Amino acid sequence: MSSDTPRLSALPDELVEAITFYLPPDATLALGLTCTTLHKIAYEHLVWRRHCIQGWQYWEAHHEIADKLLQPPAQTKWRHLYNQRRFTDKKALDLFNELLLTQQKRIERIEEICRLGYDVKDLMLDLCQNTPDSAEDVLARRYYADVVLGRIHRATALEKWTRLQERRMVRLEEVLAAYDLFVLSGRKGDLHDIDQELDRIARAIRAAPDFEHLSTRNKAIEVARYMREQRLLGNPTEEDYHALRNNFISLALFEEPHTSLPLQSVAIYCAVARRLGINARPSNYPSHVHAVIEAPSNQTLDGREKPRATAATEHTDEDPDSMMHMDPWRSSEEVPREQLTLRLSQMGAPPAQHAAHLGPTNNYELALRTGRNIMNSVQDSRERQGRLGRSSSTRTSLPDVEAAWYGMLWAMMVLGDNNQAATLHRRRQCLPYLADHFQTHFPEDIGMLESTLLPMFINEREQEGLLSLVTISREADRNAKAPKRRAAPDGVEKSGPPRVQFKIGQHFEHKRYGYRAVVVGWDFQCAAEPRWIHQMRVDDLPRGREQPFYNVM
Amino acid sequence: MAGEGEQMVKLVSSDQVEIPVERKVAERSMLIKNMIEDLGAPGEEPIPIMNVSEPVLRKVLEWCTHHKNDPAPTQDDDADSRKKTTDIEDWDQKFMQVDQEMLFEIILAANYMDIKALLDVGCKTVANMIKGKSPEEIRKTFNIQNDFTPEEEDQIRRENEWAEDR
Repeated sequence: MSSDTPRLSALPDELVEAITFYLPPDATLALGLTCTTLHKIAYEHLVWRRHCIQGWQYWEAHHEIADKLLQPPAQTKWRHLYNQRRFTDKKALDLFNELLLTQQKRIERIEEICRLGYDVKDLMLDLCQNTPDSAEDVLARRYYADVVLGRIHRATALEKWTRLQERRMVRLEEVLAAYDLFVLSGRKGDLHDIDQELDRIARAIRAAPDFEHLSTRNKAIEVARYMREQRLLGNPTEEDYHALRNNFISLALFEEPHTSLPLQSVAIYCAVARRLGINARPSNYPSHVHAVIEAPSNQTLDGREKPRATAATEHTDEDPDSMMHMDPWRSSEEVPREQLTLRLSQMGAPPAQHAAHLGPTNNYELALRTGRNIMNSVQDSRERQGRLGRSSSTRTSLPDVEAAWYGMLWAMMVLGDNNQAATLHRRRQCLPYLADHFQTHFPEDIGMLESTLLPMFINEREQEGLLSLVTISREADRNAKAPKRRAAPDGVEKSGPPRVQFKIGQHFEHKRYGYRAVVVGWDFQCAAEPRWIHQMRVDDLPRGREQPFYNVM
Repeated sequence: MAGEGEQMVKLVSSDQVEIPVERKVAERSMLIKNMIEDLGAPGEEPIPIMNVSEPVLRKVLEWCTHHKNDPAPTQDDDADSRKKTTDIEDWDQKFMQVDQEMLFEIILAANYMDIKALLDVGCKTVANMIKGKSPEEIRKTFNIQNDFTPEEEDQIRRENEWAEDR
C-alpha cells in the first residue's frame, strides 16, 4: 500500500472512536495494543465508561457509581475501575468453582464471595440464568449462585434494619423492601431496581403537561390518579386481601397483577410523591394506613401564601389548608378529615388520640407493622395449606413462605421494641424459631448469627446455646467429607478390559432381560457379600467377578 | 418531471465528474439535503462533493439508491447503556465486500457527506474485522506499525491480566 492509502490508524480520531464503539472489551484491548496512536484512542475514558456500564448493572455502594456517571467522564479512572471489576469477577468465579468441587469449607467460601457484595451480583445472576442445561453441574451451579445471591440480599436487609433500629437515616422504601430481599432470589426487585422503578414512575408523572404548575393538593391527587390508572396501587381482588404477596413492594411493582396491602400501596405512593416534591408520609391510622400530605411551611396546600399568624398557631395540624389525607389503595380522591375522625370515634378511639392517628407515623412503626402482617399472612397460608393438603399450593408460588417467615423473624430480632426489656423479650421469643429456620433452610447465614445475633445475647441465658450452635455449624462446615475420586484398585485398570462403561444416571434397557432401569452406582468388580455372589452364580458368568457390577433401580 | 421525489440533481465529484442522481437518493446525505434546501433552484446548479472521488461517490450512491426508502433514523437516546450489535444486514454485508482502501474511503465519505446509517455499517464492518484477533493479527490485517517499546507493551499487558486467560 502506498503511504497515502487510507489506513485505520490514519482515520480521524472520531472515526476510530466510532469503530471502537462496536468493539467488546477484549477487542478494544487488543486494538489498543497495536500502536501508540490507537492505544490513546482505545483507552479514552468514554470507551471504558461504556464497557463498565454495559458490563455490570449492579455496583457496591462504595463505588458511588451514580455520582460517577453524572460527573465528567475524565474525573473517573474508568479503565482502572473496569479492570478492578474484572478481577473481582475472576476471584469470585474461582471461589465459586472451588465451592462446587468440595463440601469442605463450602460455607466459608460462600461467605468469602459474599464479602465482595453487590459487585458479584451480576456474575451470580448470570450463573443462575445463563448456565446452559447441558453443563454437567448445571443444577449445582444454579443452586449455589442462588444461595450466594440470597445471602448478599439478606445481609443488605439486615444492614437497613440495623440503621433503622439505631435511628439513623434510612428511607421507608428501603426498610420495607428489606423484607423483599429475603424472598427475592434472582428476580428483579432489589433496592436498586425499586429505586429505578419509582424514579421512572415519577418521571412519567412529571412529564405530563402542567404538572409542575399544579397546587400541592392537586399534585397529590394527580399522583394517585396516574398510579391507579396504571394499576400500580390497590387490590382489585379483595378476597385475597391477606395474601402473603401483598406485603412485598417489589411484587407490587414488578409482578402482575400489582396487588398490595394499604400499607404497601401508601408506601409506594409516598415514595413517588416525595420524588415529586410532595411531603407525603404514611399515617398512623389504625387498621388501614392512609397517606398524609403536608403543605410546604410557607404555603397552603392550594398554593396560597400562608398568613404568618395562622402558621404559628397550634392548630395547623387540623387546618385543612395544611394537611390532607389520601387513600390511594382505594381511590384517587382526597379523604375528608371529618370522615376519618368519625370512623375513629366509631372505633372507640378517644378524641385526644385522634391527632396522633391522623398524623404521619415513622418508618420504625411501619417496618414492625409489616413484620406483623407477614407473620399473620404466613400463619394464614400455613393453616390453609394444612386444611387443603399440600397438593393445592400450586396456585400462588410467590413468594416463598419459609423465606418470608425467616425474614420476618430477623426483622423482629433486629428491630426489637420500644424499650430494652421489651426488646429482649421479643428477641427471646423469636430466637428458637430463627435458630430452627437457620439450621433447616439457611445454614449459609452462620456469619449473620455471629455478627448480629451473638452480640444481642451477651451475658444472657441464651448465650451459651447460641455459641455452641455457631461452633457446631462452623465445625461441620470445616469437616464435611471431601469427595474421593474412585480410583481403580491396583492392577485392575492397567490390565485393561474391565472398564466401567455406564455413568450414574444412565437410563437403559437390559439387552437380555428387557427390563428398564437407571444406574445408581457401580463397583469395578463384584463387591457383594459371598452369599449373594454364590446365590447369583456370579462365578459362572463368562468374566466372573472380575468385571464391573452396577447397582440399578 | 413529476413529484419532488423523482426530481434529479447533479453531483460533481472531487475529480470533476458530473453524476446525475435522483434527488431522493442524494438526500440520504444530510450534507446534500441541506445544500439543496439552501439552493434556490435545485436540479440546475451542480452540487460539488469536494472530498469524494468519482468511484467512491458512485459506490456511496449505490448504497443510497438501495436504501432510499428507509425510514428516517430515530433519535438514539441512551446510546451508552445499550449494547451495540455488530449485526449487518445481508445486502450491506455484500456491499461492503470491497478492498480495504475502498472500505476506508467509504467511511470517510459517509462521514463527510453525513450519512449516519452508512457510517455505522462501515464502522461495524471494521469492528468485525478486529474482533477475535490478537494485536499482532490486527497489525497484519491493517498494516499497522508497532511503535511501542517492549517495556511499554509489557506494562499495558500487565494492567490487563484479566484478559489473558480468557
